[in-house]
Amino acid sequence: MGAFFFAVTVGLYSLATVIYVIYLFHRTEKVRRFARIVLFVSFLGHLGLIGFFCFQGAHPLSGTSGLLRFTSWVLVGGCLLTGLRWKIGVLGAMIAPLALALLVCSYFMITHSAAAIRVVKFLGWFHLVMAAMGVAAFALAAAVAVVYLYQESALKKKRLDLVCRQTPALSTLDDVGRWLVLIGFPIFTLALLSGVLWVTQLPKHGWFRLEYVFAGLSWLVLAVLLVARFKAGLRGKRAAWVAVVGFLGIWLVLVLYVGRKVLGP
Amino acid sequence: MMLLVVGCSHKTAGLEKRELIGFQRDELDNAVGDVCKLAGVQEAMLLSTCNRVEIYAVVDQLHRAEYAITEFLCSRAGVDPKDPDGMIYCYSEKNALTHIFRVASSLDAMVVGENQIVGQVKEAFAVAEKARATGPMLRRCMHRAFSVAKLVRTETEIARHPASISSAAVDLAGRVFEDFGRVGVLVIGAGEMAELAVRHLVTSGANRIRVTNRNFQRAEELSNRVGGRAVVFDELGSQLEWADVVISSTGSREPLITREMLAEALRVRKQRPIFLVDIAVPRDVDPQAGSLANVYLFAIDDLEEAVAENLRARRKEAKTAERLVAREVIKFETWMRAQDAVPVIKQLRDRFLKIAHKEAERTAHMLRLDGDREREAIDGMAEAIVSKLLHMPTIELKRGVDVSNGVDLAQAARKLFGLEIVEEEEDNAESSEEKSK
Repeated sequence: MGAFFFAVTVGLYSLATVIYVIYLFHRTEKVRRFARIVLFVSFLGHLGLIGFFCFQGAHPLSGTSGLLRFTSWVLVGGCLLTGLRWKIGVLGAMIAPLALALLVCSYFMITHSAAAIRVVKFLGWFHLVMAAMGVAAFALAAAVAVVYLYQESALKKKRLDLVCRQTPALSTLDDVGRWLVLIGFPIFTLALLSGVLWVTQLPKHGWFRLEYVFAGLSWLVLAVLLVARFKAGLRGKRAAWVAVVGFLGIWLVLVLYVGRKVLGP
Repeated sequence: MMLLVVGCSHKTAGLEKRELIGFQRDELDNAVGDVCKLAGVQEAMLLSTCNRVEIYAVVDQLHRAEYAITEFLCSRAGVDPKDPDGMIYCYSEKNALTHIFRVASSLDAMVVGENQIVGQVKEAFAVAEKARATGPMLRRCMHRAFSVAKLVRTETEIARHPASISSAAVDLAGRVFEDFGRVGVLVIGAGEMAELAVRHLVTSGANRIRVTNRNFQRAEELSNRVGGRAVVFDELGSQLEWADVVISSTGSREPLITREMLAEALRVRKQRPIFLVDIAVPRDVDPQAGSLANVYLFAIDDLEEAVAENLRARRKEAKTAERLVAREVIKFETWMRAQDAVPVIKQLRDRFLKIAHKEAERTAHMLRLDGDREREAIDGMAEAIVSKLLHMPTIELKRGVDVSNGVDLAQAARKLFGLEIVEEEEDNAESSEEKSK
């Protein structure tokens, strides 16, 4: 039954990805709306998948597979919420395949990971929820930044045939990016703090791990971005690049964490 | 009755000929009345714009009406109606309908997708209505043409790509700033192009406008016209710190805005983006300034390229629009023929039911049936027989409208059963339809 839910969810995300790719070449309102509907249905299917595992007695965040499943679900939810306020159709073209990739990876984690982590401590699951939401928020911020950089480059080079008319203006994209970083940063900070507290409670746990180093560095980069944005007026292309770099750091943390679970210390 | 279009346009007649044939606004009332008096013409309207002069008519004698209207137009240009030299075109029936839909949807316009034509067609129709030159067929046709025009605008992007320099400039500014109500606009120079661009911005919501010019009086005049305020030319540097959109169109031989000026303005603005449109030749803005981060500089060549790109996009959208128009023409023709069939079906049914009730009454009387139940049963049987007999003919009459095999089933039914064409009924249906709109 779990395999059935999984297959349906993967199928729906694949369909959403295909429609969004079509949207990249055929940017009409109809295609954008259709893609969004399919993504929403995929989101509901994904919720059903998570619900199924809960019904089976597993914590939704248990194991690496649970974390990846949850992260990809939050990512899609964030994309849909962002879409309620701003019509950035091409965002789905980046988020749908990313969510699909995370979901597919979660499937492979089932066979390779050890017995599901029994996330009994509040700090443990709180850290994982915050981490998933932080990854999602910064993934969205980075995706918006990529759209900004593309549009900005097309305008700067006067490649007007490449300028996407269906995307909001640069000023709006900059604002959206700013808001996403503003929302994501405190969440990420809470993830970091709760992670530190949780780790101190684990017996014989080493402190020097690459993912911790990158997590700290990413936090620093994003803190600088936030201060620079609000105090020093950092905006536009530079802010977009910093958002992308910050997200890549967080992504590396996730990759290292998953890699450690799969390959061992 | 047939639909007929006779006219000339920018595609078939030069400006001089169109000027001779064209009608002024105050001539239209009499002109459309004159057209209605021509041989074979039952209903008419006259469309006269700078790019076309066309008469849309409903006629009962096609060739006579076609010649009469051609002669009417040619006489104004001093051209022989027997040899108009390709200047005059004529379309009838389906081709006429297609042409009218295409004109209203701006597919036949000089700039495809321009939005003035539908208003001009509506105005011409209003003039014809007022002169009582229209009738049910032309009214149906024109109302549908306006619906199709709206459909083309909403279902395609034919009108979304700006086709003039000033509107292209505003469209590009819209790629940087979402809300023009929150941007500061600086106009340098008081020329026509600059004014056009600023008017487009005002239409798009801009309300913080400053105008500067070496001649302060001209700056004041322009600022009054666009709802802004004039600033002295010497303050140009400090105005760049305020303005988000700059439109420059002066006659200066040297650049007025240098790279250094913009770099300094950006520093004070904390890198808030600035969008510059330089419509002047020679340029008012140093081209090197465009390489600065957060500066978007477009000169006249860039805007002309933008317009060319937009026109290409419009032509591409026009293909979709043409398919939409073709589909609507078929739907309208089908609907028209169905409208012809409905009164015939009703008349047939009424005639048959009348006969059936009469015979049922006679039979009830012969059988001495006094009870209500018995009479109802006889009546019910008679109606059931009528319904069953008319079932297939009704289906075929309705379906028959889709088959273009040259057989008009509605007319054949009228002839077979001796039904009259009830014109009063049609006019009443039309006028109640008009009132409900």
